[in-house]
Amino acid sequence: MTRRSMIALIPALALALALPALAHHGWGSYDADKLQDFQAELATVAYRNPHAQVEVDRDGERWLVILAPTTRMEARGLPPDALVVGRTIGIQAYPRSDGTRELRAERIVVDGRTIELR
Amino acid sequence: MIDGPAIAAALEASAFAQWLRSAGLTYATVNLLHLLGLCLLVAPMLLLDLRLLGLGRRYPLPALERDLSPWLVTGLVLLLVSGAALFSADAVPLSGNRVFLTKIALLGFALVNALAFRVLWSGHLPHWDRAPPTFGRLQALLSIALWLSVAAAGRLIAYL
Repeated sequence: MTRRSMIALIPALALALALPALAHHGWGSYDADKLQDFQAELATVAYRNPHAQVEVDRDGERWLVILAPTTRMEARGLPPDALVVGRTIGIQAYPRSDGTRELRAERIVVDGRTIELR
Repeated sequence: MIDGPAIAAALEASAFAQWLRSAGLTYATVNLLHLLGLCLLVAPMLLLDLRLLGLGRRYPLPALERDLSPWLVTGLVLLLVSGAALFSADAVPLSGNRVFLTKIALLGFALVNALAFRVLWSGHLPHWDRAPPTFGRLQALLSIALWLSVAAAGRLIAYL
């Protein structure tokens, strides 16, 4: 490999090294230091991919709660009919750091059964 | 006039998009096809760009280009088709997502760069090593940066 061609590689390598750092930053969109633990009635349910999501009303505000991919939910005992509008479930979730009313659920409690979603 | 939001909403409400979102492995499968397309595109693209930049001179450039191009085009087609499908599943939020829009803009630049390269230099490949054009080499460097950025932006849609 010539010296010149090695120099040509530097920008590509720099970019490749920078990518994991960026991706790691992505988890920061939810604040893992602010675990929310509450009961709420399901206002809407979307049992869908790439992840299921529900909406709940909390202190007069509507929050979107991101759950997990449908296959994972089914594998952990949460078929589509386990989440229906009007049912009250327990939610342990992290809020988005940017203030959007959106939570990412770590686990939910349905009929006294705790289901890990991660 | 084109009503972007209405088109996105109609796309997302279509039977096809609903099928993609449905329970089961449909979405995951299309996701895997998108990833396969990325590998098929980026691997030969990087090899070709590095060759244009002067690495691996023992491989004749015209033959390398001829042998790698079909893989790269297959990858691109697979990416565009699976990408359009994945987009349809979440057309409304995606069409307003800054990371996604950045990705599409970068994709546009990358495609223009690749097409321009073909138009400008495809006849020049047999004697590339004797007189490698500076602009052509810049395009190869840009190609590496752009395609890796498109891939990175795509992955980051889920995180930023």
